[in-house]
Amino acid sequence: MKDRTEKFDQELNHLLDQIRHDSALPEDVQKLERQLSESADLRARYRARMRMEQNLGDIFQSSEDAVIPFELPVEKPRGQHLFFKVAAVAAVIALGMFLLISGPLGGLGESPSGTESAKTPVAPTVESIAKLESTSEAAWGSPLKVGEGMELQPGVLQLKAGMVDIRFSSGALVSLEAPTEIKIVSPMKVELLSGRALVEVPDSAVGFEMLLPDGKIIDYGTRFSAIVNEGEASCEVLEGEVWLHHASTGEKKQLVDSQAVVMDQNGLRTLDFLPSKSFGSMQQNLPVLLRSVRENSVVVSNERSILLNRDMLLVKLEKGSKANRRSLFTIDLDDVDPKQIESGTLNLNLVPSGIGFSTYLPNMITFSVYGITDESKENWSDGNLLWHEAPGYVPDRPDLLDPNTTRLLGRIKVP
Amino acid sequence: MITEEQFIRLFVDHEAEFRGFARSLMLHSAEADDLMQEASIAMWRKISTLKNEQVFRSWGYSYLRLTAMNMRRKRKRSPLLFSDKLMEVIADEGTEEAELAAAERDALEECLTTLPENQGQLIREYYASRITAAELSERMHRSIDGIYKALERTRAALRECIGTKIEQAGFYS
Repeated sequence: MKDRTEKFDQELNHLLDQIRHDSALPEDVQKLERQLSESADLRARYRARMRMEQNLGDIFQSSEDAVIPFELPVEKPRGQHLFFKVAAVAAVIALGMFLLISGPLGGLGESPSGTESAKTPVAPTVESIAKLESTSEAAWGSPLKVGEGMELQPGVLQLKAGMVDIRFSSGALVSLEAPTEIKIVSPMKVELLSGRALVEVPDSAVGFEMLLPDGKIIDYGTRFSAIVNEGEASCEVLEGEVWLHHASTGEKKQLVDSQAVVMDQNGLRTLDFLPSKSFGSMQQNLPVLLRSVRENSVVVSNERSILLNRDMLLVKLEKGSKANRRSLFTIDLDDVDPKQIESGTLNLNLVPSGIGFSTYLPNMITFSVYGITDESKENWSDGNLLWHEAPGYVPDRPDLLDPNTTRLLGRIKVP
Repeated sequence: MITEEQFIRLFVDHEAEFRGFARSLMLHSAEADDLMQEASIAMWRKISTLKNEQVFRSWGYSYLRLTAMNMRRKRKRSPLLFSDKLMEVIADEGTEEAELAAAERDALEECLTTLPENQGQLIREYYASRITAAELSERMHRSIDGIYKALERTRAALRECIGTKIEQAGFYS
C-alpha cells in the first residue's frame, strides 16, 4: 500500500511539474484519471496534494496575482504617513534635501573603477516574505544578523530595543516597538507573540491577518494597533475597519475608527478607553517618524541602470569619476505645524551595497546634507532623473551645489 | 440577504480554500485561476441569492463546482481536464472537506516555518519562481533527480506536519 501511494505521489509530482512546462502528456493525465476513478484513497490524497500545490503557490507568489474581480466599495481615506514612531525625523528640514558624500574615494563601497554593476546581490532568487524597511536603535534577541533592507523569511523575530518597520511583500506594513516578539508566517500573515505593533494595510493586502494568542485580527485596508501582554491582547482601530475572530468561542466583532477591544481566553470585550494612549512613548514623547515621500539618486554619467539602484540611495564624490552620485529625498510636512516641532533628527542607515570593496573606503567618510531653498526646484522627478535635472546642478562641477538654490545644512562624519 | 461589503469580507476569508478546491478540479494552475475568476464573478452577480453568512462556504463551493462543469463542457478538447464524472466525484468529496481545507492552509503556513533552511529555500525557490524542477536543477547546479527527490522529501515533511497539526485541531477524530 505504501509503495502504491509513494508511486502515485511521485507520478503526480512529475505530472504537475510537466504541466508547469506545458509538456504534460495526455496519456499521463488519462492514467491519473483511471487511478482516481478507481480509488477513493488516492482521490483524497490527490485533493490534499492539489490543495497543497495551490497553497504553496499562493503563499510564495505575489499577492498581485489574486483574482478578485471587484474592489472594496468603501472609500478609505488615507492620511499622511504621520502616525507612530520613531527616530528618523528630518523634520526641521524644509521640504527637500540632498546628500553628498565626500572623501578621497567616497561612495558606499564604490570601487575605484566605478564600473561594477550597481545591482545588489540578492539571496539567490528566493522571493522573500517581508523586508526590514527601516530601523531605529534596534537590537535583536536572536542570533541572526538583522539589518535594514534585509529580506525576511518565515520565523520568529525578537525585537529587544528600538523600533522597526517591516514591509510584507503583500504591501502590509507592520511597525514594532520593543520589546516585541513576532512570528512572520506568510506575506499575508504575522503572529504577535508579545509586545506592540501597528499595522497599515493597503488595498493590495486586504485580508492581512494578525494572529493573537486567542484569535486573530483580519484587516480590510486600514490602520490598527495591537498589544499582547501576558497572553492578553488588545486591538484598536486608528482608521478604517477590522474584524476580530476569537478562536475558541467563535465570536466575531467588527471594529471601526477609534474603537478598541480586549481579547483574552474568555472572549472579546469592548474597551471604554483607547490603548494607544498608553503608547505614550510612541505618540507623545518620542519623535514622530515622517516617511520620505519621494527619493531618488542621480549619477553624473547618467548611466542609471548600471550605477544606481532603486532600492537604496547611493552617493559618491571622487575627482573625475563617472560614478559620482547624489541622492535626493523629500519629506512631506504639510500636515505638521512648525510650531509643534521641537527638534528633528536625520538618521542615515548604512547598508551593504554589494558594490566595490570596503577596503577602498577612506578612514573618514563625510556626508554633506543640503536643503533646497528654491521651491521651484523641489519638483524633481522620482523616475529617470538626469544629473543636470537635479536641484543644485552646476555644470562640470560635481563637487559643488548651486548656492543660489541650495544651502548646506550640516555634515555627518562616519569613521 | 447580505451586503456587498459582507460578501467581500466573506470572499477574502474563504479565498484560499476556494483556490485549493478550484485547483483540485483543474490540474493546471492557469485553468484554476480562470475558474476562480469566472466563479467569483458569478458569485458577485448573485449576491442577492445569498441568504446569510452561515451558508457562504457551501454557496461558494457550489458556484465553483457549477462553473468548473461549464468550463469542462466548453473546453472538451483540453487534455488536462478530467471527465465530467470524475470531476463531479472530486467536487462532491472536496466540498465535504471544506473545513479541513481551511485548517490545512493555516497548518501549512505554520509548517513552512519548521522546515530546515535548505528545504525551505528549495520549496520557496520552486514555487516563487514558478519554474520546473529541470530549471531549478540548472539554477542550483544539482541533478534533476536530486531536485525531484528533495522536493518530494520536503512535501512529505510538510504533509506529515500538516497531518499532525490538523489532527491536534480535532480533525480525523
